[in-house]
Amino acid sequence: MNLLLLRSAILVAMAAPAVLLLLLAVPSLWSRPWSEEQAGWLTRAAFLAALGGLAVAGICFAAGPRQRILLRLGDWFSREGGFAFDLLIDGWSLAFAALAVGICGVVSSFSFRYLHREEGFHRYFVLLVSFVFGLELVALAGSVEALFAGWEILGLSSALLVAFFHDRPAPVDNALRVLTFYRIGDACMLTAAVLLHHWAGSDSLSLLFSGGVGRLAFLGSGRILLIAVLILAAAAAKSALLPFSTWLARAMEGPTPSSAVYYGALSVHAGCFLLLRAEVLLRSSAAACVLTAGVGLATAAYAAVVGRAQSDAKSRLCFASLTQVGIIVVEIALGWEVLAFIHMTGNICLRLLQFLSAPNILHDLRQLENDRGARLQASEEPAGPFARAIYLFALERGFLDGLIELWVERPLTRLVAGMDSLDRRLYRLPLALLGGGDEDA
Amino acid sequence: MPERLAWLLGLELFPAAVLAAYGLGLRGRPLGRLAAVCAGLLTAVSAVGLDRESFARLSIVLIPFAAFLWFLGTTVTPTTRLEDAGLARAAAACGLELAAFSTTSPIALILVWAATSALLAADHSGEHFRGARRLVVSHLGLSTILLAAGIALAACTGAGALRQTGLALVFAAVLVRKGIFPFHAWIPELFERGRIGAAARFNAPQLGAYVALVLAVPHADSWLLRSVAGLALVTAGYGALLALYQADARRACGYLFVSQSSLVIAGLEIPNRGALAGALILWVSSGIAVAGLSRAVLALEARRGRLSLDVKHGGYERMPLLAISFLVMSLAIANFPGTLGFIGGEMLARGAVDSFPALGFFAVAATALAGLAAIRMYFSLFCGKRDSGARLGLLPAERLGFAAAAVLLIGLGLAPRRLAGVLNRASSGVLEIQRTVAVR
Amino acid sequence: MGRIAERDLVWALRDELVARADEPIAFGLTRLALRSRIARHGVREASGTSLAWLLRETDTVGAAEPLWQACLEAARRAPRLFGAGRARSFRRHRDVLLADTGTDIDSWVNPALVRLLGGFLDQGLARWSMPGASRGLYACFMDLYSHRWARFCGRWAEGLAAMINEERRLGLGPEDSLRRSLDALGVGTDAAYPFLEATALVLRGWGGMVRQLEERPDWAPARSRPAALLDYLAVRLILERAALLYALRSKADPARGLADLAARLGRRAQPERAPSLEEHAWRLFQAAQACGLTAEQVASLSPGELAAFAAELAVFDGLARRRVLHAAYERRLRAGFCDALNGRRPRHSASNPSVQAIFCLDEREESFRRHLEETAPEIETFGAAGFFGVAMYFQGVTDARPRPLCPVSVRPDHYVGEVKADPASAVVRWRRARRRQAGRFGMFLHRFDGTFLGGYVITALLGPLSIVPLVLRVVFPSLSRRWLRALPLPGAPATRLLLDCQPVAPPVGRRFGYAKEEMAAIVGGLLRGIGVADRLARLVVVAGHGSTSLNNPHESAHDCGACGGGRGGPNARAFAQMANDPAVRDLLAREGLAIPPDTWFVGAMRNTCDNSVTFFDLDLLPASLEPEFNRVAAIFARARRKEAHERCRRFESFPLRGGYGAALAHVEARSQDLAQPRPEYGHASNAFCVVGRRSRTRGLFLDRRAFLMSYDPESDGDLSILEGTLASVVPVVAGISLEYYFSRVDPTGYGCGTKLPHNVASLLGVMNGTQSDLRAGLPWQMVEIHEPVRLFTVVECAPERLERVLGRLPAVRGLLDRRWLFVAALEPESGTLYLREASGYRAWVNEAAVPSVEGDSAAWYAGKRQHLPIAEIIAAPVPA
Repeated sequence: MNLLLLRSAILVAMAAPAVLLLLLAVPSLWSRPWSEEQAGWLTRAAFLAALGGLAVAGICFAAGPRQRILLRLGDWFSREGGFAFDLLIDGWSLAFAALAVGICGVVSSFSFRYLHREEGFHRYFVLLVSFVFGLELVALAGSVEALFAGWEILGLSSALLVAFFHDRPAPVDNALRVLTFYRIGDACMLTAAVLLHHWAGSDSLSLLFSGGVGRLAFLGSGRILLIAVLILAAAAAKSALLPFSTWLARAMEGPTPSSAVYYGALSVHAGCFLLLRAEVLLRSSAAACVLTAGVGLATAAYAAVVGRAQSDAKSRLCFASLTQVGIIVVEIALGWEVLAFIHMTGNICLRLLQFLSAPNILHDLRQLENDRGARLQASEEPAGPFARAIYLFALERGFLDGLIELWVERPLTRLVAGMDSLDRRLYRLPLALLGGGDEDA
Repeated sequence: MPERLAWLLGLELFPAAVLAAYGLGLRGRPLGRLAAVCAGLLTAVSAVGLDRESFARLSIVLIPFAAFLWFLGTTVTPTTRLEDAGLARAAAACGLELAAFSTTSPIALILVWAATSALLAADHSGEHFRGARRLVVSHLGLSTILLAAGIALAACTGAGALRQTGLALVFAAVLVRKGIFPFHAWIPELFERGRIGAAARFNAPQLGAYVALVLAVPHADSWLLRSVAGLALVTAGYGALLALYQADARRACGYLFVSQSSLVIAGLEIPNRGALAGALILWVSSGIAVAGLSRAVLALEARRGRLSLDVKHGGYERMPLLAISFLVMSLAIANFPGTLGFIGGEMLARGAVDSFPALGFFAVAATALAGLAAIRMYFSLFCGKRDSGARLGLLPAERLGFAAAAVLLIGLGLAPRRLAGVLNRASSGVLEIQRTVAVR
Repeated sequence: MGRIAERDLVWALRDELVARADEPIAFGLTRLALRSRIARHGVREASGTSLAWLLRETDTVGAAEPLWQACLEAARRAPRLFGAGRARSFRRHRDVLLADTGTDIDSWVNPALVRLLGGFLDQGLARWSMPGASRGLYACFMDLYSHRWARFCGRWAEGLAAMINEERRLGLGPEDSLRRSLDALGVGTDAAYPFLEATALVLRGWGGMVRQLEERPDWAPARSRPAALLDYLAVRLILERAALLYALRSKADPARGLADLAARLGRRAQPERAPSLEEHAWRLFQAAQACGLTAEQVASLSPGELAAFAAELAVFDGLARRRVLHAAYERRLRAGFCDALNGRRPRHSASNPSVQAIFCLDEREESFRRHLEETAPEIETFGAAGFFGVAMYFQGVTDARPRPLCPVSVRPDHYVGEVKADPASAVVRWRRARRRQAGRFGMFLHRFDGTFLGGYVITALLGPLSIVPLVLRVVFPSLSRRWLRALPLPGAPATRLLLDCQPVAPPVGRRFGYAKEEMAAIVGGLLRGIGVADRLARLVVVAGHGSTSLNNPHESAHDCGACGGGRGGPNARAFAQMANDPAVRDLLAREGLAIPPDTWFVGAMRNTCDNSVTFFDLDLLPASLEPEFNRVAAIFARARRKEAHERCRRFESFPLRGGYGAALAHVEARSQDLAQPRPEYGHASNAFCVVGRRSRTRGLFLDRRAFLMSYDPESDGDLSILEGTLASVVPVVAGISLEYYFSRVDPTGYGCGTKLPHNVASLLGVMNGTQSDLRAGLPWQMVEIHEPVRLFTVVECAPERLERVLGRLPAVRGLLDRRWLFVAALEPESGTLYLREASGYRAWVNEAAVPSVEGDSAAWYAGKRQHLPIAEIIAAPVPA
């Protein structure tokens, strides 16, 4: 009975945002949307249902034997295709899912008043609810397909929310850039999933996430390292670790609550959660561990330095958050799972509160001056021989944009331009074959 | 027996339903009569070519697919771009494709191959399209000759090297028509200089893939299959990259066609049931998606003139339904979860990586790039500027067509069980033939 | 024509066309008749492909096919004239390059410049300030970007470091560098001014901030940087030169390329395109439909008539039509106000009122004063400049820095501090200790938040705990405020204002405190100005106003304009303390202004966001006035609930049937809610200004749209008071009106767009995201309900006397002549209104009856959310 209750609770938790998504999306597609109050009540009901479901599941799980449970929810595409859609329930997944739904509930109650009378009100909530659904999928995913589906929904909803104000060119350009980085991450993850299925035979993630170190030994260290690197790349693209850190500052174009929940809190930590789940992978390959720790440390150092020269509220916050994300990745690489999860929860909640009250910074600093009874001492100038270079490095956010433009974009566009001009001449090939003579068609 | 009945029903009911929608969507079009004639032609031709049990299951899917493409084409094309003769040619081309999809006899297929090419050339009559017409005549003429020679060679010489060269010629014909490297350049050129509606109508059903699947794939040697798959793969990545780079919306549509159809061809060459079924699903999803994108570009062009992708056009608030439908179709190309493309992409990548690992990665990279290119088109055509132009909303017919395309891609994506089942059985049928041929 | 009457449209057209109005054009229609028909029918603008689509795909022509054919025929015959000619011309090299090649160098240069300016002007938000910032922007830039890493800023910055190092080698200052850049860009000395103006306006937010800090360094919140517009332009042109040379790199000689671009400056961007046949016919077709013409009439047009008709249509396009309709609506609004005031019987409070209240002239006080008067008819209210004549630097007892509280144009001389009445009390020490701890904890958070180790400690330890404030402040804002107030904390201790002159030098300004004579001048000036000098009541409340809200970088826009965006509470308190000072009363008595001994002034502060009213120095109130004050406090409490209810009708999230209590709770929640982008609507819907006695407007429902400045014409023989009043009040009020006007007419150009993506930059302003221009102007959420109309001021004074005063006020006259302000004179004796027009003063003839309703304001506004016409509120007869 315990398992049945757990299964139904999880189903409710997963179904609530999905149903809400359909309820919000379909009427506004046919331009007869709900009124703001109705949408408000629907969303509150769905979030409470999801939270209730997860709470019940948590209680059942705690009451039960507390080891991993694989819920098979039947087959997604076709019986023979072997695309099982199943969920993996354990301490981490329930905790992260509950955190995700709770935080998004708080942000949605903030957004009702903040986006009152806004032109894209319904579009915003459709994207926010699809973000919650994607997060739940990532948290509770049992099979590779579910994890990959949740991962992509996450990416698309955050890119479309960066382009929320799509009557201006800047958010749209930045959204496309953000989506490019996410697509690179998604491609890496899909490749890792396909390779894992190819080599390990089963697509169940329980293989990846559970069991001792020995479970994956049969793959051979080279293959493990390749899968680990691909998973790390996917996590790095989503959590803006180096070298993908350039899109984080660009993603601040959306409304404050969406920037808060995506880039201050949950979306940035989804990568860390993925690494947390892929603990077995890291444990079974020392090289992967060192690489992950290295990337985390480098990102933390990079963000700490760059964050010191940022003179606007949201940049300061997102680089502060990125510093902690880098440290969390190092903690995960070193295997301190519990500390990493607590640190992640702390960073999520603190950054969300700071982001939501970011416009209040004038008020807060004046209050701080009055409390201290003295003027805020002027921020000091960086000292030392390389002061100028370090400050320029920090001001230009580590030149990441420029370097990517120089080393990646420029050669690629030159190559593609060459291909395009080749094409404009190539179509005359059959004309020549048929002896049709080559005049300008 | 149930397949035959279901398939006959498909032949009869679906076009009738389409004609009803045709009347509703296009009030005042004088060609109701001609459409009725086409329905009659369609029934007669398909009754003749009916054999080869194994491909019946494939036809059950492809016939409604081709009919839907025709319905989408005629409802959303503005009258300024499609006069009455164009409607007649579209109806005739659909009739021919439905006939081709219901038969496997080589002669019928060659006839349809040539006739559809002639129709495309007829679409580009007149001085203005002289360049495009020369393009079509040269390429499709070459491909028809290759096909005829290939079939003749393969049919009369039994087994052995000569038969394989025959099949190679058939593949060459398919490569030219479908626009696979090195013959891919004419499709974007046709989209840029010719009629975008006619080009989309010609490319969307991917008749070349059907001919390859029916005539050549079961009988070809593995080295031939691998080389064609390799060429198709290169084109998939190449086309997607160039679609991302294009400044002109029409050329971008052309390259998207090249990229998606070559992905389908690459999938068909894999002797693995899951991959083949995935390729068939991609065939349907990319056909609808890219045809829908091209039709949307045509509808926007009729309102705003030539569209450049380097400029932001705005206009989401004026046509939210078209914008959302365009986004759904872009996501189908990107194989996004929840759309039909995701199912096809997953099955293709999963099945391919076992027998042809290179294909698995390349397919993933190509879809990622193609998805980005499509979403870039969405951002450029609908976002980025407060649209202050004249208030030109969607007509009822356009609303019907684009909504149907979006609902179909999402609906099948969320409940793919039936479609995937049918196509799985169809792919196993093809593989059986391949085994029996190999044994012989 | 819902809200515009026929006569308004005719007036607006005649006002614009003046003599040319009655020239016949075609079909027996004069120019005025033709334009009014087109204005009413509306022109659906379509051109090129969209017009072709419209004609073929939709049935817009439909039944009028013959008329369309006739118009096509006529269009062939008529000369096709160009439109109203609004095409823009090339002003910078970037525009020419963008038109030719489509590459936009601004997308390369602006992000780098925004980051540089953000870092340079930063007021303390960043941990590091720019090294060598004290040497100016140009020096910092040359210092930083001469580093070899500068080329990693992007491919456009390849030649940047080399260019900068060469200029450093030549030892150029900003001026020489600017001149060198202009020469290199091929801009001659005569073309320099428009070119530099266009360059400065690319980032007008940041550029404007640099100029502001250059002109008024004392406004810098924390530290004033040596910002100079010259430095900014020099830096910008260096960056643009580097970007242009990169963009022209493919050319043989890039330097020559710059000269070619410069040659095309000033020329038209797009070649003038004559309208196509269909476009021309489309305009004729719509005009013909507007005038109700038939196909035969159009066909029978003579060439001359046709040419005149076509010429008229070319000039009177969509923009011209919208301008006429806008002017017509403004006249409709003015007519409503004139009807209400013209010949109206003045309504007085009780002959000798027991209570008088002096408020700011802000239009948000109009509704509070009206509710006060409805609740207690014996109260007499006045309106004055919100700083009550007390221009000072004020430092509160808990403030770290003094703040100027006076109009923006005034630089105060006096410094006034606030001190604890009893500094040694235990409560004071406890609260100071709590504040110190909070300060230390806040400083720890602020400094170490972004760092490596400090951040780690904060997020790992404090992070999880922050769930509690997160959920409380976001999901249950009003609940958390109620709990906070319920905490048993000791109340704020009593404080005093140090008004008297102190010998010591003040931290800022020239004199510490006020001399008695200065106090007397201030008190006398105000009391005479508002005409209450000889009939003071026993209790006089002086109320300044301000606004408190959370998460609102534009909070000071809701505060008092006369106090330079500060809260007027300290000014009101200082005035009351001055007026209660016996020495000051003696000086005034000597000048003939005898304040009755038992009169007492009470300072107060009204919060226009949560409608709270706080009274100051109540412990100094004489015991005899205790019952009187309690009655007044009760009246104020009832009035603030009713005014909250009137304000809530404009908030869509408040149900129309809600009661007074619910309304008050709603506005209180709004001012404490992190998620509320609209704490209050501020000056939105301002339209009128009245300088005259309250009796002229008392009893009128003005829908919070009128600034009310008290002025008594009887006691102003030599017009000196009127001149002083108009000189100080009209520029401030016109400034507010035009700020809202432009932010509503162009929300993203003059206004700063929606608040949602705003990000506080360098503690100086807000920008969208992290790399946009600084956004000046008002956000959309503040102007969404505002009707952009130009201010209409009614002065209670004879027309010729008013004209004489206006002659002596160049600033006000300038606004009038450029038609940003409309003025009318209300003849005090006869009460007739004279509207000032170009041709002189014209007596107003009432056009419509003024609606009237019995009861109180709620009877008129209940259940309605939109703008309401002005109505007469007739008090219900008090049951015997």
